[in-house]
Amino acid sequence: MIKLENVSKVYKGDVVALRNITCEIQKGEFVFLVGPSGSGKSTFMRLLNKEETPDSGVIYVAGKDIGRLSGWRVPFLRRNIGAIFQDFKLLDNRTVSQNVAFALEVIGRPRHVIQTQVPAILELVGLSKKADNYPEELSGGEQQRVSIARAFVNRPLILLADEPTGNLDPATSVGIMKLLDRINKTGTTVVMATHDRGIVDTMRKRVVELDHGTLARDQARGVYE
Amino acid sequence: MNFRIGNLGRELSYSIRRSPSLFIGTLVTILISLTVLGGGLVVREAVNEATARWQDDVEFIVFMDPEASAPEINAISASLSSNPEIDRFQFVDKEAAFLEFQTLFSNSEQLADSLSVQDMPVSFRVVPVDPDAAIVETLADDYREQAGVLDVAAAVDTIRQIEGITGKINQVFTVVGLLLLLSALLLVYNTIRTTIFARRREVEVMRLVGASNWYIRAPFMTEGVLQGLLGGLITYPFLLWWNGFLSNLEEDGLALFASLQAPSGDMLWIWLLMTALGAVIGAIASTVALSRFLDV
Ligand SMILES: Nc1ncnc2c1ncn2[C@@H]1O[C@H](COP(=O)(O)OP(=O)(O)OP(=O)(O)O)[C@@H](O)[C@H]1O
Ligand SMILES: [Mg+2]
Repeated sequence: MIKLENVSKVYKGDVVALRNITCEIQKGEFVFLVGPSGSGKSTFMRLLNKEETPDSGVIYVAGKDIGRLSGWRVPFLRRNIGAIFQDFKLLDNRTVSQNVAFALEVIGRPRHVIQTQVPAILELVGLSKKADNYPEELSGGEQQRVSIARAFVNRPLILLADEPTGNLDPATSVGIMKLLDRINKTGTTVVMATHDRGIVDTMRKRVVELDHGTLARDQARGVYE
Repeated sequence: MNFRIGNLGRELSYSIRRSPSLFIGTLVTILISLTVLGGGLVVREAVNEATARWQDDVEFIVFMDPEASAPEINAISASLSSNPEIDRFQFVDKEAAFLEFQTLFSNSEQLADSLSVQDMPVSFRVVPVDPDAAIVETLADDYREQAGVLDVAAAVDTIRQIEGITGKINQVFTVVGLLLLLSALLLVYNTIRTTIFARRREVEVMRLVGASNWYIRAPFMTEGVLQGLLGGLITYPFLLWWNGFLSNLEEDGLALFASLQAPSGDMLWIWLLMTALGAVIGAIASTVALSRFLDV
C-alpha cells in the first residue's frame, strides 16, 4: 500500500527532516510513528499525500510512484488518503454535518450521495445527536470525531493521523483509539504519529521509530520504547 | 464540476458583506478608470464623426474685400469656373452673409447691430476636385494673391487644429485612464488577497480532501472577474453623460461643428469594450493574487 525507498527530505536552511528512509506498509496495517519532537514524523506523513516532495528517493502509494504524478492528479491521490490532526481543522461557521458534507461537496459528489453518506458516517462516529451543532459547541473529543468522520466519509484507502490525541485527556483518547481501530478493521491502512506511550503500549501494533530523521526501529506488535 | 451560475451571486454578495468599503472603493476605481478610457474613445469618435461630415466637401472660402469692385468679383468667379482643379463653387452675397452672421452671433446683439449688410464681404465657397490638404492649401494661396480678395480661409486649418487638440486630449485620457486602471488592478488584487486569507482554512481543508485546483480557484477568479465586469457595466450612464457634455460644448460657443457627439452605435461598442476590459483586469488581478497567495 505504501512503500518508501531511500527517501530523504531536507528543508530550506539545511534542516534534514528525513534521512534515507526505507519502509513498507501493507494494506490494512496499523502503524504507530514514534520519536522525539522534530524527528520527522509529520514530514513522513506529509510526503505520503504529496504536501511535500522528497529531495531523493521514491514513494509508492497504492502501487503508484507519486513522484511521477502530474499536478492535476494530486487531488485524486488525496481522495484516497484521509488525514486528521491534533488541531482538528474544522470550519467554525459550519455545523457538524456541514463540515462532513463539505469534504464530499468539494470533490463534486452528487447531493443524494451526500445526503445518505453524512448521516451514516455520523452514526459510525457516534455523533448523530450533534449533527446540527457548531464545532465550538463540542468537546475536544467530539471535535476529533467530526474530523475523523470528515476524513473517512469518502472511504479512503489510507488514514493519516498526526497526533490525533495530542489535545485530549486519556479517557477521551481511548475512545478515539477505539474508533480508529474500528476504521482499521474495515481494511483501511492507518498511520498514526504519537507521543502517547500509554496508547502505543496497550494497542501493541507495529511501531516505527524515527530519530533525527533516521529510521531507528521497526517492530511488529511493539511498544513505545 | 459542481460549480453553477447560481453561485456567482453568492460569491459577489460574500465579498460585499466581508468588506463593503473595500468592495465599493474597488468598484468605483474600476468605474472611473474605465470611464476615463472610454471617455477618450468617445471624444475620438465624436470628432471623427464631425470632421467626416466636413471632409465630405472640403472647402475653402474666398472672402472678397467689402470694397471690391464688380469686375474684380467677376474675375474671381471666372477664374474659379475655368480652373480644372475646382469641382464647383457657390457665391454668397452680402445679404446671405449678413443672415448667417446674425444667426452665428445671435446671442451678442451689440455686435450684430453694429454691422450692416453693406459691411459684409461677399464670398465664394469652393469645393476642389481633390480634397487633399496640400492641394487645397496651394489653391487657397493662389486666390489670396488676387486683386480684391480680403482673405482665404481653408477648412483644412480648422480640421488640423481640432485633430491636434483631440490627439492631445486622447493622450491625457489614455495616460490618466491607464494609471487609474493600474490602481484598479491593485485594488482587485488586494480584494482577492483578503478573500484568500479569509478563506485559508477552507482552502486548506479543500486541498486536504482532494478538491481539484480548478475547484479551489474558481470562486476567487469569479470574484475578480465579476468585480471588473460590474465596474465595466456601470460605465454606460457615465459615458452617455460625457457624450452629452461634448454636444453641449458646441452650444456653449464651440460652434466649429454641426454636431460633436459620438453616434449611439459607437457608444455601444465603447461600452462593451470597457466591460470586457474590466473583466480582463479582474481576471489578471485574481490570477496574480492566486499564484502568489494560494500555493496548490
Ligand atoms: N515547513 C518546514 N520548513 C522548514 N523546516 C521544517 C518544516 N517542517 C518541519 N521542519 C523541520 O523538520 C524537522 C522535522 O519536523 P517534523 O515536523 O517532521 O517533526 P515531528 O517528528 O513531527 O515533530 P513533533 O513531534 O514535534 O510534531 C524539524 O527540525 C522541523 O523544524
Ligand atoms: Mg509533528
